[in-house]
Amino acid sequence: MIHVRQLSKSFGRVAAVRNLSFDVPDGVITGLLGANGAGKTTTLRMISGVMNPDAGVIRLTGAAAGDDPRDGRRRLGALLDHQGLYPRLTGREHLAYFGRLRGVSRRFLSERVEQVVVALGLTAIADHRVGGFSQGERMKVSLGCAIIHEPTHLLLDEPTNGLDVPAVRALRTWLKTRRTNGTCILFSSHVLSEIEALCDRVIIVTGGAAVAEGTLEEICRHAGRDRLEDAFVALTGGAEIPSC
Amino acid sequence: MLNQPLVIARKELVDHFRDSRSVASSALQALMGPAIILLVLLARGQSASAAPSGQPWPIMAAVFSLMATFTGAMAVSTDMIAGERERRSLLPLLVNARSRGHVIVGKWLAASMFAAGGLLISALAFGAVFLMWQMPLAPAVSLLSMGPALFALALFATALEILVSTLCRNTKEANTYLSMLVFGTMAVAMWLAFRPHAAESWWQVVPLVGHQRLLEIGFVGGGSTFVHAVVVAVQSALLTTITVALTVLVLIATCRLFRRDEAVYGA
Repeated sequence: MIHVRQLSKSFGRVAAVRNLSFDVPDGVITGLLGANGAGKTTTLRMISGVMNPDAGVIRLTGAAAGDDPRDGRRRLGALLDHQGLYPRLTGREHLAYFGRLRGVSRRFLSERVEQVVVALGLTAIADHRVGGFSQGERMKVSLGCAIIHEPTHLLLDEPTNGLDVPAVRALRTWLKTRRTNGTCILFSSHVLSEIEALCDRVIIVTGGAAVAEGTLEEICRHAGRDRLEDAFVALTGGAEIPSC
Repeated sequence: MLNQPLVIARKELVDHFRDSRSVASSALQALMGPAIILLVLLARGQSASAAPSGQPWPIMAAVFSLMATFTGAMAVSTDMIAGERERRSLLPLLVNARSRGHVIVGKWLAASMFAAGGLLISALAFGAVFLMWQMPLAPAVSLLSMGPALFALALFATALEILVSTLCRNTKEANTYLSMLVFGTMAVAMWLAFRPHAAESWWQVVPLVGHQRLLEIGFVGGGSTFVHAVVVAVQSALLTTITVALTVLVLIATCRLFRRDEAVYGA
């Protein structure tokens, strides 16, 4: 479970996140939905520990993780940018490197790397340098690096950006498997169809603050609309382009 | 405690040694000084016995060796922080590393090997040129006693470069400022050329100035007495201690900078 309470972050005079509070339960895919610049990435960066919040509390707990926040963070996996790889290393070397960073013991590392390679369908390219990989292949390697230590909490920041249809479908299938295993998944996106296809719960953010939280049906009911797109526009005050 | 920095250092060494063009260019830069002196000696057509002492060769060799230390790790230091930020691979590293201090120490350890390599290539090439022209070098005991101080120089130079790279937003900016560091070593040499007596005082234990002086002693040759060897060893030991202490301070400052949010997107 991820608890976020009264989270705030500013960059100079710009308030990126304002008093944001929400919960992300285990075994559920929670979508963080917002327009560009709504504060989704900043929120995920703060939860992952890459950025320090100006105010607020983030707690990562779980049945296996206990209540120690440091323990929780050790069990966190984050895919914040699937472009960020080392072109001269192979896919397998990436997984081994991040596995060692995450404290996977040498004894189990090669076994664990092999499991991830097979699970993500990387067998044919695992020993190739990632410099020549396609977007989908890079995403898979990045995802592998995020899950090499078997995290109980998973943060994904717009992971489907730039991916083709088969890669998106493969990612969806994989995430649903993780959900069944009880992983706490927070999935950020500005693509409504992506959220509708994958998420059990949705948190809508605008201007750095949460304006709605619940299942897709609850969000639509709350906004008095039938479709998520209409509900999103109504809740975020998104301007419609006037017809000519 | 050192496990994670060593994991990062190992990965950086593997990654950057695969960048054969960058490694080759660093090695060529390290050989540039010896090549220039070799060409000048060839142009002058000096015979072995006519290569006199009192010539500028030892000073030039010392300056070029200092520069080789900085240029040896320059490309790597640029790529490790500013380059990673630009390539967007810094973000996953920060998410997965246990502490940012580990990241800095790991990268510094790896880059130091490149700086030490640059210095070693340059010094060995100068040694070969000097031996070809039968110019004297310091006795082996003195040369060996300089080793720790020169290795400490590689550690210090790299720490400075990592600090600069941390402050820079992108590789272009890092290249500009790191080049200025190399010019800094030239400034030290010029200062010593105009004030040769300065290097006889306490300046001998000041990093860069002391290293320049130490390298000059190595390339000037002579001083085969026991007392001379002891003096060189003491100077080297003091210089090593002070340089390592300064290196630690620079690393602490870098770690503090690196803990800020700006580390993710540039200072």
